[in-house]
Order: sequence, then structure tokens, then C-alpha cells
Amino acid sequence: MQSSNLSVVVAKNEIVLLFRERTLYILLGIFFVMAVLSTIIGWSTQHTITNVYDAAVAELWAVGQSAPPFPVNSTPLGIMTNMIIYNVLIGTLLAIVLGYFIGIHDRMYGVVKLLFSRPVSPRQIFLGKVFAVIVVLFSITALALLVSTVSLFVFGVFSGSALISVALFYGLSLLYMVGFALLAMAFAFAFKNSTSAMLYALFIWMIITFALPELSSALFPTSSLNPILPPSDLINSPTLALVHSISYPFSVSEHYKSLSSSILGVSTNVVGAGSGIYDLLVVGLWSLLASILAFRFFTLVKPSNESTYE
Amino acid sequence: MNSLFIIARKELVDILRSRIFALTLTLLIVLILISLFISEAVFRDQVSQYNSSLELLRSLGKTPVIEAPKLYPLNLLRGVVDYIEIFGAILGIFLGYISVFKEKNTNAIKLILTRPVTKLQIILGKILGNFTFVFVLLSLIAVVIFASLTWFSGATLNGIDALKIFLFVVTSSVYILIFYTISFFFSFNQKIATNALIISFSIWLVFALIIPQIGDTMDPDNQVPGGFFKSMGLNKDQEYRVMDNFANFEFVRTGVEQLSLTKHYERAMFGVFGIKTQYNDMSLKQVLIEKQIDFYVIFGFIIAGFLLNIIYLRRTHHFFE
Repeated sequence: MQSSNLSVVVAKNEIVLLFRERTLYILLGIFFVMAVLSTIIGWSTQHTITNVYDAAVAELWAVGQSAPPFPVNSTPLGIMTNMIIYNVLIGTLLAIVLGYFIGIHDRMYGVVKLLFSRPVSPRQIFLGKVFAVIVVLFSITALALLVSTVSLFVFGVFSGSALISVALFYGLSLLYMVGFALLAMAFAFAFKNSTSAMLYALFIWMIITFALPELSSALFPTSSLNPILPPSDLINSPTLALVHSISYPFSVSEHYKSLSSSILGVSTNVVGAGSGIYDLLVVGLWSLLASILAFRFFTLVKPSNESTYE
Repeated sequence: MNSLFIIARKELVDILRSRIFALTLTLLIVLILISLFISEAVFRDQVSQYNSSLELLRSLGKTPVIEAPKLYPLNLLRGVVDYIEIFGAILGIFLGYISVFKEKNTNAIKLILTRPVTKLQIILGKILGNFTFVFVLLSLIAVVIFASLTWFSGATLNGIDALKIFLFVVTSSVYILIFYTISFFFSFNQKIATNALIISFSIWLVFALIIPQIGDTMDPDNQVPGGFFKSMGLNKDQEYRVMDNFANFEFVRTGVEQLSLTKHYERAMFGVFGIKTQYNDMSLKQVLIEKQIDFYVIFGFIIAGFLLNIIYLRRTHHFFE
């Protein structure tokens, strides 16, 4: 059998096993519910803030004051803003669980020795697993794209250019999520204890999602979940500006948020947001590094040291 | 009673010996130090900007009327509260999971059950052991906070501040233990180990992250950086009058937030530390009265968590199978 065919066989097997994990459907359910709710929340908030503005203008006129222009940066795809945050939160966690399952399956079912005794090379097995991760995440983001497209129709903001923007946004989200899935897979290969594998992946997730944005943009952890934030004066402070310049290149989640905001044409809360190519490069590099780490840990798996059942 | 303490002690020793203790302690301390450093740098920047404005006004021969930024040292703990909200809950979930699955994997429980010890003693012993661990962990964090605020930030903390930090340790321990009881329950319930973990994480995701996020995002004042009403030049009274027209929207939005245990914990701690500025000059007693509902909810959840586990496990026959 050809090398690529064997990888496809491994990938198929991984996908079949993955969809037998019933708990995975809970996270999938949450992700799709939030994909639907994100636009509803976005539309409702946009609608309300317009009415609040009208009421505020009336209040100011009543006391003889003049009203400033509408201060909200309202764009057609503004209703998608929340989805950026849901991808950072739910999409990445879903990716971690997917990667974890795909990495841990062989050990969980005690088939590592059996698998390595078959005429399939470790490289083919690894490629098959990576392929499975990409196929599943691609399907999830494609479905999310469909959900968002329907929402754009419903709220009357659908257009060809809007569809292209949303498709590009989900493409970037796929790249970002693949990094987390591969990281979780790497830890699943590295640790014999499945709890440690999950715990380490979540630690890195916490650092990327909360700690790095705090360092680079002085954002409090829960504040970084709000798409619109108080202005940061950190560039004025030499200390914070220095910390920002050191940590920002590593703050993958901020690069993802910055580029997503540019693609969707919504305002970004990322301090010092740079060019789109730079953001794309960092997100791409993140996934590449995660895949290198996964491959490295996979090569360290020694079938002779594996028990038949965890 | 003696058996209960023996189980609690064993639980505590097991955790302290595990790598998870060292790992979580290190990560929490690193995150908290980062947070304190950033908060302090932001404050120093505000002071420096204030001084520059003051100098500029004086050089122009004008009398400065701008108010100097006030340092309330406990305000710097906002990031710490945020990390306990997120990471503390994850820690609770892992503790609950490990607490059950180490017994399931080693079959040690069968041996314990041959001894004169009841199911209730085992459950309470485990909960007590884990509470002690979390309490010790947070006490160490409190020491780091104290040292950092006094030595590095040069703040002077009084007895009331120490009491507030103690209240933070107790409330946070209870908050983490609530997630422990959730994970403990599902770890018994589920035959496959990771299922329990993923179900608990899904609950955490919805109640600790998504619901508070929805509430914050829908807040009209959060639609503009720096605040919508401030950008419109409206004072508080005018803001309230405007928002009176949107009572139904606000009812739904705050109702969503009320569903989240994390939001109640956040409100309670933001009140105690004066992170919400209106609580800064209130006495601790006044703050506790204002925030009593949030404290009741937190303690209600922990009682519900205990009862859920005790009732479920007393009824079930496949205990630790």
C-alpha cells in the first residue's frame, strides 16, 4: 500500500474513534450554539446601542446640551465580533480536546505495541493523526461558516464581499485552532499520565489566551474576553512599552484577534496592532511550531515501554 | 471522626507529593506576579502622567484643578481575582477528578472499604483534604501578594487590608471547591475518566467564561473604549435616566450574568478589594452588606455541591467501581 494511503487509513480510524467520544459532542454543541448566538447577540447589541444613543441625545437636548456624533464604530460585519472571542475561547478548547483524544487513543486502547508491529512507519502514523486533526477542524469551521452565512442572510448584511471576509476569517481560525490541537496531541504523546497531558495543554492555553495579552497590552484576564475595551495608555509608559515590545511577538492570540478584526472590518482592541502579514506569520508559525513539537514527542514514544492498557 | 481526618490527611499528602501541586503553585505565582507587576506599572504611569500635566499647567501659570490618582493597594489585585476565577476553577476540576480516579485506578478504595469507615467519612475526608490543600495554596499566594505589595510597591497595608486578603483566601477556597464538587460528582458518574473531565470543563466554560462574556459584551457602556456614556458626556444621573428606557434589555442582560457563579465571585471580590471604585471608601462591614447576595450565592453553591455528592453516593451501589 502506498505511504499516503496508509496515512489516510490511520486518519480515517482516528476520525471514527473520535466521533465515538460522546463527550466531544458537548463541546461541539457549545461551539455551534455560540456560533448562532454570536450574531444574535451582536445584532441585538448594535440595535440597542443605536436606540440608547437616540435616548442619550434626547436627554442632552432636554438640558440644552449638544450631542456628539454616534461614537460606536458600527460596520455590517460588526455582528460577528463576538465570534472572534468564541474562537479564542471555545474553538481552541475544542481543538485541545480533539488533539488530546487523537494523541491519546492508541495509549488509551492499549494498541501502541500492536500498531507499531504493523507494516506502517511512525511517520505515516503521525501524518495520519495530523491529517485527522486538520480534516475534523476543517469540517467544524466549514459548518461554522455555513451557520454564520445563514445568520448574515437573516440579519440582512449578506453580500459577496461579506462572504469572502467571513470565509477568510474562518480560514485563519482554522490555522489558529490547528496549533492548539497539535499542542495537545504533543502532550498526549509526551505524558503517560493522561491527566498531565491535558493539564499541560491547558496551562499553555491559559498563558496564550490570558497571560501574554496581559503582558503585551496590559489587559486584565477577563477584560481580554470583551471585544471592545478601555483604551490602553501603555505606549506612554516606558516600562509597559518595553514589556509590550518583548512580549507582543509571542502573543499569538492577539495576533489572531488583530488579523480577524481587520478581515471582518471591525475595530480591534489590540494595542499596537501591526500589519496583517505579520499577524498571519505569527499565527502560521505558532501552528508550525506546535506540529514540530508534536512530531518530536511522537518520535520519543517507545512501543516497548508502553503497557497494553492505560 | 478520626477516620475522616486520616482520609483527609492522606488526601492532602497525596496532593502535596504530586507534581500537580508544584506545577499549579508555580504557575499561579508567576501569573499573579505578572498581574501585580502590570497593575503597578499602569498605576505608576498614571501618576507620571498626572505629574506631567501638573507641571505643564504650572508652567503656563494656571492653577491645577485635576485630582491626583489615589493608590488603593488592593485595587492592584484585579488580575489576581481574574486568575482565580479562571485558573482556580480549572484547578478545582482537576482536584475532583484526581481525587476519584486515583482510587478507581489503583482499586485502593476496596481495601479502605474493608476497614471500619463509612462512605460519608470517605467523601467528607476527601473534601476536607482538598479544601485544606486549596486553603494552604491560597494562603501561600496571599503571602506572595502581601510581600509584593509591601516590598516592591511600597504600599502600607493595615489590619483591615489583611482581613480583606484573608476573606479573599476563604472565599476563593470555597469557589475552587465548588468546581471540585462538580468534577467529583461527574468523576463518580462517568465510567470513562476523560468524559468526567470534559463534562466538567464544559460546565466551567459556560458558567465561568461564556455567560460573563455575554453579559459584558451586551453592556451598552462597553460598546465604546472608555465607556459609551463618558464619550457622550453624560453624568451618572443622566445615564440612569437613559437606561430606564431599556429596563427589559438590562433585565435580560443582568439576568444572564446572575446565572454565573463566577460573576458572583467576581462581584464579591471586586467589592471587597474596592476594584469597583464606589467601594473604595466604604467600611468592610458596609461592603459585606452590599455584597451579601453574592456571598450567599457562593456559599449556597458549595452547600448544594456537598449535598449533591453525599446524596448521590449514599444511594449508589457501584461505589468506586
